[in-house]
Amino acid sequence: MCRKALYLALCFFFYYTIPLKAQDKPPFKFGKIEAGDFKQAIPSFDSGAHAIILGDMGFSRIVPNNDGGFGYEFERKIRVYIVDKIGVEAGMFHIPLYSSSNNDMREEIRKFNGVTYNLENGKVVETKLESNQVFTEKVSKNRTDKKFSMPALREGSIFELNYLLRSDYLFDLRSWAFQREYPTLWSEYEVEIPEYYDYVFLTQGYQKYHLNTTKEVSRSYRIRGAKSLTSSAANSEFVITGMAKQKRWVIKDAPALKSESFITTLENYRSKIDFQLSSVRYPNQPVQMVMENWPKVTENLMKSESFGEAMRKADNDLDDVLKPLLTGAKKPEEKAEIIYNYIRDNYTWNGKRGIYTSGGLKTVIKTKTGTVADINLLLTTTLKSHGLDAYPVILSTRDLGYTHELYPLMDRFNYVVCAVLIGDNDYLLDASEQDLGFGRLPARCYNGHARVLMSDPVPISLLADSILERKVTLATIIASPEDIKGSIQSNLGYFNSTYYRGQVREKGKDAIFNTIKTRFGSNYEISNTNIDSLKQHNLPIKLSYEFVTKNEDADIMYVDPVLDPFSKENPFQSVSRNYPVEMPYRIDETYLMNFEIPAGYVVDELPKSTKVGLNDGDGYFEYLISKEPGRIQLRTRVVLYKAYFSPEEYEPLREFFGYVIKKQAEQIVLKKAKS
Amino acid sequence: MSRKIIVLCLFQCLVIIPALALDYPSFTIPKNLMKYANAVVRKQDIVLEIHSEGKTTYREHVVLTVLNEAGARYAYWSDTYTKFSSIERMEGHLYNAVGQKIRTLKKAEVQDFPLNSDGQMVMDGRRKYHSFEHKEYPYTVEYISVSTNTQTMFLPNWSPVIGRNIAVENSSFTIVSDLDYTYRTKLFNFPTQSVKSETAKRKTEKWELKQIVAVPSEYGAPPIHEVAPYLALGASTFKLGNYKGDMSTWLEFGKFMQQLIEGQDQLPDTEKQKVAEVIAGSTTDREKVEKLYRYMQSKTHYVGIQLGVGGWKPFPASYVAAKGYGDCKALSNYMVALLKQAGIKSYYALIRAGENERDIPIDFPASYFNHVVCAVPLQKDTIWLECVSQTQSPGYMGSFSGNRYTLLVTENGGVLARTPTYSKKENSFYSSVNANLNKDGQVVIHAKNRYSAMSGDDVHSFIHRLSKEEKLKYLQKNIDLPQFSIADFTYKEQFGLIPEISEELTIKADHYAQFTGKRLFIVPNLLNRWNHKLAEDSSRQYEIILREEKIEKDTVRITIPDGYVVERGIKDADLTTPFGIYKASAIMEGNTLVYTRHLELSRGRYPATVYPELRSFYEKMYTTDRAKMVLVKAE
Repeated sequence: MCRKALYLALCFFFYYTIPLKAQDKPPFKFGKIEAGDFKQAIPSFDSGAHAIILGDMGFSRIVPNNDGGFGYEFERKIRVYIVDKIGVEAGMFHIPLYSSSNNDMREEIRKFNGVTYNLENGKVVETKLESNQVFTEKVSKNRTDKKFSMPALREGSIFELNYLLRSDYLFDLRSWAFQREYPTLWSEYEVEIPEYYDYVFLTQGYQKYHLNTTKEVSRSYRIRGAKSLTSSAANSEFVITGMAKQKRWVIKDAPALKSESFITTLENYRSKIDFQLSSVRYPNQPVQMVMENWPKVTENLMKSESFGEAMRKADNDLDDVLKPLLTGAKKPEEKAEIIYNYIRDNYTWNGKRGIYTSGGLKTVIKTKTGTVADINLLLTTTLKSHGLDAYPVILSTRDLGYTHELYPLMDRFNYVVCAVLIGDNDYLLDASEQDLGFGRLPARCYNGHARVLMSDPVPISLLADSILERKVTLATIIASPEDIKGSIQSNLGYFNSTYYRGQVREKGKDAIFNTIKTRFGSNYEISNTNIDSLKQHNLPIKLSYEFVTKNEDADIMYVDPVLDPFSKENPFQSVSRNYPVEMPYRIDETYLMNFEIPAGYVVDELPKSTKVGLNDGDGYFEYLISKEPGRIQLRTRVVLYKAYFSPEEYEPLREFFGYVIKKQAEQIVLKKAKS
Repeated sequence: MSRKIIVLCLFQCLVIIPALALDYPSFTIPKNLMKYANAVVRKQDIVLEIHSEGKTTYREHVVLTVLNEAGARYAYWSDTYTKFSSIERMEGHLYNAVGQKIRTLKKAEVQDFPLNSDGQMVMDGRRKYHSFEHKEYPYTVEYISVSTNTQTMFLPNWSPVIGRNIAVENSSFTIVSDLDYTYRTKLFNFPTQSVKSETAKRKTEKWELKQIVAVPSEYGAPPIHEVAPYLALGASTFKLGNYKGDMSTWLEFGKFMQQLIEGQDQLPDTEKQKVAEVIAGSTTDREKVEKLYRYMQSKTHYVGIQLGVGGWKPFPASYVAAKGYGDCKALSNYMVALLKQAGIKSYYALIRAGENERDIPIDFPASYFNHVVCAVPLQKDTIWLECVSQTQSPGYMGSFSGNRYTLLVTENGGVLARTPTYSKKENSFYSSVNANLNKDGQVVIHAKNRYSAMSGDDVHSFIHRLSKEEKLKYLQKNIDLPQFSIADFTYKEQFGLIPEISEELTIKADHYAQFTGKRLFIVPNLLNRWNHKLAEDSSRQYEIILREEKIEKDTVRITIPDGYVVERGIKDADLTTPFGIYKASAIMEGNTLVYTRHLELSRGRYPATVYPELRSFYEKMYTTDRAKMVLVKAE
């Protein structure tokens, strides 16, 4: 016990007195390049690098601005080694600078230095980035980019860039990505925050911190240009002193982020830090909360012209058109479904996401077109005005990344759906997708945390693990010495049905079967094609057709029993995996086949029945084949009990699919009976 | 009293008439125009006023009815503006299916963004764009816009048929100009002539078209401009910034370009020394060209900075020498300067680059070009140098810039010349595969492949663009096997006028063949399968253009476990068609399965009637390349 206390005390002591140790600093000094520095080894953890970020250091410091308040300075120093010709792209920079049109807030570059170093005949030659090579481009009303390309870059060059930027946007203190397009040997970020500001630190990623320290320092701040309430002097100037917190993070040897299949978005896995201002506490003043809690945010949203207010203004606008449709509807479920169907079928989504309406809902009603927020807020308000218990639900789609359950960070949300509570049942509705049924959401919405905006907002979790895509295919094959014919009927899974509904809407039924015809080839005749339940959005689609082809060899017949295999090639081609596999849903695929053995033939070979499991209960594959007099029956089934697999589970998953594909490719062999 | 009535009447007319006249209900479109149509141009009226050599005004009024989602991509308005041009006015309206106006665009909805595409860093212009983003079909958009231009080098062409699957109800194009101003026009597929008129000061020429049925999308169809009406408009004398030129002949146009590059070829002294060092010891001009080209490639890279005289004047050679980067103009100009320093004459050459780009009409000089290369005429032949590539073999011009006309900017003016074309034999692919099949169905493949000329274009960029790790990932993604891993791979490139790439791959393919109790099922074609099938099309209208010209020869030898004999082989294929030749066969030699495949594709234009034949050719190759052999244990 005593020993532990001593240890802690010692740590404390060393922390403040000993200067930074070697391992606490990047292994080089900016601005000092020697011939030896050009012998850069390719990091073993990222052998495919075209360029290497040797050091990337950022320092953000909150300091007084000239308007009587605070802003921040952000300084970045980066040193990069160019491995090959492709790597020269690492020398292209776009630095976005923001400004506001309705107030004085802006950002500007204060200091700017870039130098490229090349080793020529054993000597280090410098080429400076000249200011006339830095282009300014107005990207939008609020954003201007500084763009430039480092000069004289080639294989083996090193460049350094150093700039300082001033910003008034304290609300978003500059975030920092430790992982970038190229491997980074040393990535460091330091922030200095005066005691007047409280930030929430949002960290994410798989890389471990080499250093993660906090230090308190005493600072005095000269406030200039303050508009004083008590004195008439326009430019009062005064000094306040207080403590500031210095936080420093270092990550070493971070590989570049590389994309993989079956992933929602790589951004979820990038090692980075974001900051959100939560409260401000000026000396002798009450604390101002900047970041709100969920109830407060919801209250504000409900008052917003482009959310709650927009809903309120349109709450009775559809009454007249709905009235004739609702006559006779008694049960609340019925009513809700009629209203949902009406809006889904008569309003078209323009493809834009976001949680705010594009304007008033009146325009939306006039043009019958709108964003996802327009349509689903109109749905919510219409349901409410018809006495149903309906609420907007905000979420982020899978491609944008996760949202925070704890902090209401609104810019991470990009989608609105509607929740309607009827008795003991909750339904989630999305009227923007023309092909969805009542109570269904598109697969993109299953991205974890979502928020039901009741007066006391409720978090809900939409997990891909919770949804199941079930497909059942029935096939009959009849062979004769002349021909092989049969029929196939597929009962598609729900998401696949939605896809087919869209295809039929855009290209027509014929296009669906033309694709099937092209797949079979002109040796096959496809007939009796049919798609069922196209208009019944709550039901999955049934797809059926018959086929016939000439039998080319009457002595021996080779029959592919699985006409609609799970897949022809392994969806997981890559041998290794860095990030989790995130499939859109769980899978349950059954294929049933009935084969009639033609008279005069005997079965010469039959594949073996088998059943394999995945990872102790994560799923299974079965292949059951049986021979009865005159017929062969086959049943194969692929089941995955979850949609999310960790990188450690990748290899067995790949093996599993490999086995399924192999097994489903096996053939039945029939021979003419010797008479 | 009576006066009051007249006023009232007038007032009513004003209210009523526009309401009737401005409607564009979708149901008034003639039925025959609906065929193949995703959208219909109800009317497009363009008036181009050429005030002088130095100023033009372009007025456009367009009304488009969008019938379905596929047609929606034409329902927008967009224009660029630069130092030389400005957008004076624009308005837009949206109408629903019955022709009622449901929206008018607000200024704030017009997007305004810098004009830079991929790979470009800075360009001298911006673009404005607007779309109603409407999705309720059918609907109609109307845009009215006016823009002015202070350059006359680029005059607008007229494409009344704005795309495939677009029908046209009414379209007109009018040129108003001074009496003494000459412009040139060339008409393609035009059923009608223009109507001309003159006043004391101005002359007017107007073309009108009505009722044009949409051109359907078809596989390998000719470009839209070859089958639909198209008017090419070219200036005679023109102005670009402070430069004046004449493009009525290629010679004159070249002289204009010469003005722009004049004096841009000065090199700093250090660079002159460098040139001397690089070519030291070289005996022939060809050797010098190759060495200097390699030097340029190692020193520079492409950065798109399109500034200066509308992006047409190259940055000086000294700029590239100092910064090590530039766009195609700057790099080509720099290359010309390096060669000049070495005493070798070469030319800055304008080209219309791009894969499958149509050839420029050489009988109608105009500014068609989007790229610059360097041409070095040597005694025997010309060496072409693509200066934005850091890897290309000196003298080779692949699918991006080969087989087309360029305009050489010589001291005496412009001269047309053609870039190289490669024959079927030159574009070859040879593959020799040795494989070993074990009893688990795993096959270990060792492939030796050789690509030459255009067969190697994709491989060339692949091997230079990607690091070893990325190559592995790419191969893992692009080789068509159910499940496999790559054990080893190497690439070697042999440079020359016909570059060659050799590839060696070692691949382990799991579960490749299926063993049952006594049989073995295997597809003998391991790696090179035709993967394109065509859909049935009984009403093909237009010619088929096939662009690929190459030869492929494959030999695959698969050693299989002992004791198997063929139960069913693959049927030998031997197809000779106008489009090419295809042969495939497989035999057993002891316990080795030997598969051979020979494919020749011929580029050309084929009549629409042979489409079923082409479809069947593709399908037979597709099927044969995937045919399974069945082997059975010898009893």
